[in-house]
Amino acid sequence: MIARRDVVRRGLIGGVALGAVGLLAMPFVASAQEAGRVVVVGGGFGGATAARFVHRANPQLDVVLIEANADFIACPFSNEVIAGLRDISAQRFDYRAVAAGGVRVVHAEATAVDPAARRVTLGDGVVVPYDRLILSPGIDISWGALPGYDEAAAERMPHAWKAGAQTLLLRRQLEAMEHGGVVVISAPANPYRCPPGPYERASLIANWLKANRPRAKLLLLDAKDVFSKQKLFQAGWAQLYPGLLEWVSLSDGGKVTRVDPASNTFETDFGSHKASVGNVIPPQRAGRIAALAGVADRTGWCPIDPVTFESKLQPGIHVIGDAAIAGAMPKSAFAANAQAKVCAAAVVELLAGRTPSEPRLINTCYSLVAPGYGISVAGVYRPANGLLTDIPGAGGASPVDAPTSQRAQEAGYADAWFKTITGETFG
Amino acid sequence: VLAGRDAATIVADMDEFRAGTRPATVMDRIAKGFSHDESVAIASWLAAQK
Repeated sequence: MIARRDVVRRGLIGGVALGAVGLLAMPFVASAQEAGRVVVVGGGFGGATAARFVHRANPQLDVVLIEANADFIACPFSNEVIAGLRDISAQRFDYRAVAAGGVRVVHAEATAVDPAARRVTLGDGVVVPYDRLILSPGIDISWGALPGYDEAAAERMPHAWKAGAQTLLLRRQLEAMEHGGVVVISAPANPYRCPPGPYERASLIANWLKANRPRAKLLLLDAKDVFSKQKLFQAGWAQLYPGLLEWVSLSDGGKVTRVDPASNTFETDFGSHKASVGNVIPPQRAGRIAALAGVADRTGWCPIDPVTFESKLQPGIHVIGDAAIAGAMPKSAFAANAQAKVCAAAVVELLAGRTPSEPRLINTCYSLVAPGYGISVAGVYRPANGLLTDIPGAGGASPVDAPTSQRAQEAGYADAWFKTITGETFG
Repeated sequence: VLAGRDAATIVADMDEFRAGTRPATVMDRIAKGFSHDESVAIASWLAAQK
């Protein structure tokens, strides 16, 4: 890693390097600067895909992927880990194939962006210049947006909305839960990462409770009255988890206004709910580097051009994935991956002095109501009036009256989807 | 695997998905987002892939 970082230092800011180092670096820098330098920050489904697709579209470009972590722990299917259906090792990916494919992967934290000088500063002080910057920082938890919920509280009441240690913490708490206990999950208002995620999580935890803590209850407190795939989830709950899983809508007093980690309590305007296991899915915003780069607006998210994903606030910086305000597109791994490809193509075109063509984007989100019981929602999108909008007549959710065989088929497709997208991103 | 598949076959499949005459779980919903001409463009790109 030290050697690789050296290469970055030489290759990117080493244009003036002399001596032996300069001999190695100069030819590379000369050719790279003619073609252009693309820096990608954030190595998830958006960023890793974008870096790979920029490189594939034009191998002459110098493509650097900056990612703090050596491993990536995928969120899709992490609800299965929480419910004891899957080992977290199945969620873990690394960047070896990305690097072997010609992207220069730098494991460092991006701590600053200078949009005027077009350069990114890393945690160790190294400066990385760019011609085009792609930010794919995912989400940060808006600590304090829900009173009582801070980083310390998350150790008692996990969010498990970034996969990894938090996922395993929630899993352990469930395993340690007493018989007859109550699991409380709070779901936030829109927008947030993975709109159907809280409902899939409630489903799979209920599935585990049914088999392992049959006298337990699950309470899902919601800051919304409507949610993704609602009819499908509610039909599945009525069939599989009657009397076990209770959803409390905003109108019914479901909005959590404060949590108390000391007593594991969720407060609403109408009362308080003490949990045996408490899972707070908190309000979120774009990953920190977005605000530091000046591409996040007052909502905490990033307005973008729907053709190029270039920031509406800072020219030369593109934002993709959960951090972006992508109109009708949800914050999903599939959407991030689709946006990455569109953004990569646009960046290549812009660097070549051409006009990017108008894109079409697809999203499909699978959720499990139980093992072997899959449902989906899909959408097709195009730019209109400065936003990404649904193409009328396309997309929508699985039929409510589908036979069991179709639920099983969709559960199988969910597995296949995960293999395909992680293969394309990291494989 | 779609890469390298005959373009005319892909276009015909997309037309059937769009019309709802071919059994599907999700492709019917996605195909409705693309016109026949767009399907032709997608299919010719896919057919050219290795």
